[in-house]
Amino acid sequence: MKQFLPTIKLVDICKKSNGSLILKNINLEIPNKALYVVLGPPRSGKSALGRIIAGLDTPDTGRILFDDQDVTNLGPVERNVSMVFQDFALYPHLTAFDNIASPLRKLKLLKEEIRKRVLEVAEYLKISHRLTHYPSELSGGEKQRVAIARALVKGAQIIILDEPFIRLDLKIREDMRAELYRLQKDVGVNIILLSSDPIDAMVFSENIAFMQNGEIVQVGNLTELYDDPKNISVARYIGVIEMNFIPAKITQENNRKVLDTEIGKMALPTIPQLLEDEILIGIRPEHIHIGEEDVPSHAGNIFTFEGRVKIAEVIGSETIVHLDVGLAEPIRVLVPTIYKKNPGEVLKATFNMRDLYFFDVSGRFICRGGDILG
Amino acid sequence: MDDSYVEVVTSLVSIFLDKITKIFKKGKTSIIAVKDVTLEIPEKTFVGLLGPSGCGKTTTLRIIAGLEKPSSGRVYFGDVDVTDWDASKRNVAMVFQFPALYPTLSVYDNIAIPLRASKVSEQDIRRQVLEVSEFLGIKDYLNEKASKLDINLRQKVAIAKVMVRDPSVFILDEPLTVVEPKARLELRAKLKEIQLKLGKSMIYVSHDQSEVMTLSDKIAVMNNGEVLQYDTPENLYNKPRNTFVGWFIGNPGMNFIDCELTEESGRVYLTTAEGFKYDVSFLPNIYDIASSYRKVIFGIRPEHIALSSRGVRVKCLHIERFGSMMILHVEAYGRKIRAKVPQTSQVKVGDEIYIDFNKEKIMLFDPETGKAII
Repeated sequence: MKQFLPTIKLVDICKKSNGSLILKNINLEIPNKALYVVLGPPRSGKSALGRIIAGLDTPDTGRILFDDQDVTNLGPVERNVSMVFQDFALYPHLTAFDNIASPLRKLKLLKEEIRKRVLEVAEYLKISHRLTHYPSELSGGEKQRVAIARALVKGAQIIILDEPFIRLDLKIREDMRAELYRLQKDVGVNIILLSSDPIDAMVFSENIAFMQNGEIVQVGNLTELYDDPKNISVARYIGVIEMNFIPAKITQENNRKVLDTEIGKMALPTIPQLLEDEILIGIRPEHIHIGEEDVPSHAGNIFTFEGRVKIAEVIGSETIVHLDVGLAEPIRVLVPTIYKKNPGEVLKATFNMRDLYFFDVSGRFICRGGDILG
Repeated sequence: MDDSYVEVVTSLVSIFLDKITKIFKKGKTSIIAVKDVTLEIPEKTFVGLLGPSGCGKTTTLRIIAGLEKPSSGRVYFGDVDVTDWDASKRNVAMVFQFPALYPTLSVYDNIAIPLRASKVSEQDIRRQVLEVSEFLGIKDYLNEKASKLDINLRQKVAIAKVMVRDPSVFILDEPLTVVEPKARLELRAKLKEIQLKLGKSMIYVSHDQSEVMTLSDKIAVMNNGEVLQYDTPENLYNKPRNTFVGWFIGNPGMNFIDCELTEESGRVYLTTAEGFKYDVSFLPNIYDIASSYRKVIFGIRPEHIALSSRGVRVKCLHIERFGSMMILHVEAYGRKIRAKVPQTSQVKVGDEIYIDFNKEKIMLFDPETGKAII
């Protein structure tokens, strides 16, 4: 198949809607032949951004470049961008073939031409053997391929998927995501995934832009966003289970600096200058260990606390134990096994202070525990 | 009110579904929604009905509630055959995905309605409404109109409304699907508390394994109208009775490889035409199994696969992050499998690595029926 897969450059994009700024000075470069995730909470501006890339809306200010060509004033067809909305809506009364052919029929192409193009794209997406089937007879992954084939057959070079999994059963999503990843790798098409589900960042971890309140907050791969979040919002959103936050204060005790928190005092050998008096510490649920598990090494840096089980949430192969420690919110602990505990039970939990995240009161990320503890 | 009704309400209640089948006729075609389901729900237990969309779980629930009549089979509440009883007579409390409230009435009046209907004194009503709203944390909203509340609060009111009724059994159909994540967790904990406190049975329908695994004493996993396994969450995870349960439970689900059992110089191997070969002579009764089954499905959970210096050579295609673990998508002799290994493992996409299986966790299934052999 002929392909022209451009890199996309957004320059100083602003967009107002109903008087409020929904995109605030967006600058972003999206590499080609990649699966790019734009992640953010609902109403953070993801769809608005998607529509502007697709050419469905025009920005108030700023430019959109495909490679070096300015496409700001081109429509979706001229840009060869296709936007696919929730759950890959296919026509239920049409076969896979006719679903893929539907955009071509509107162009009034010859029957043979339509057939040739559909077969070509079907071959490319490895669904040739399913073309006579109706959507209800297709697996989730196959439906996804048909929807993408329908976009490609029109000549789309960039496909924008807007919350494609949100209305699907959780179990179906598991396979759909793995399929989408493979599909993108196989055919190398440009896919932009707009999502509010942090799991999409866990699966499509190579290129992520995190959006909030109409702004791009941080761009990077998963490791960068996970280990080095720009602020509390990124830290909170990027993770399988939300990070725990505990207010803390730096105090002096016997000539040593001590981190005084609501769950106990932590002795730190050095505290960097840039740490303020009042800070917030963050600890991820997967970095806290409960009871019977092996306590990791570096025992000197281990902090122990107690909490009362609020609920033990079994999420499949793992359990999230919510421990009430007297804070406004319970501390979440991710236990890697099925761990049934009754509410009210008191458990001992530990974490390595190297795994802590430090934030200033404004929510800006300062450093990790490991940076201080060496 | 007849006598049998009173008796059922006061002595309640275990539920027994005896060979329930439900067929829906749609034009000339008939759809079997529920197929020969036999299920015993002891009193004071929390039972989950779990399965994908269209598996028959909601129909089963509606049959218990009396909202649908089974095509064949009987429904018992205790010793009483209630198959022909109306929903109102069964005194079942129902909570649905979308809370059913009177929008123009206050929260107080919404909760009080069932009590007023049963002619409780206003003083008693007041006491009960206050008690239940205190428990659910909606005391501050009693004078608000139901239509003014957000979805989280509305669902709490819907739960309060059924709690004060002193029902024989609680029935909940995906009650937390539309509730926001934070409130969802709080309500999950509350539901469990309600069930323990009131000592009633609760039947809970969901497609989300974490919802039912967290709350349930026993779970019926359904697919295509049938109950495939009715068991504790731990047993569903550790001893799935068939491939569907193995796949549906777990995060992600179990891996399956179609294999042949090959005997070679006194040992038994799992083999595939593509060259996969794994010695399973250590499995109990494997020689007997090998003499009755030539083909088997080999099942292993992702978390029961480890990296090793020898074993099965695979290629890593994709890495997802999951807490302190990572999910490796690997290709082994043309088969795609997932392995869940610690985040600290040194693996990159494209690497050739060796994996091994936890010998105690290997399962074999009959390819004809999907049922577990061992």
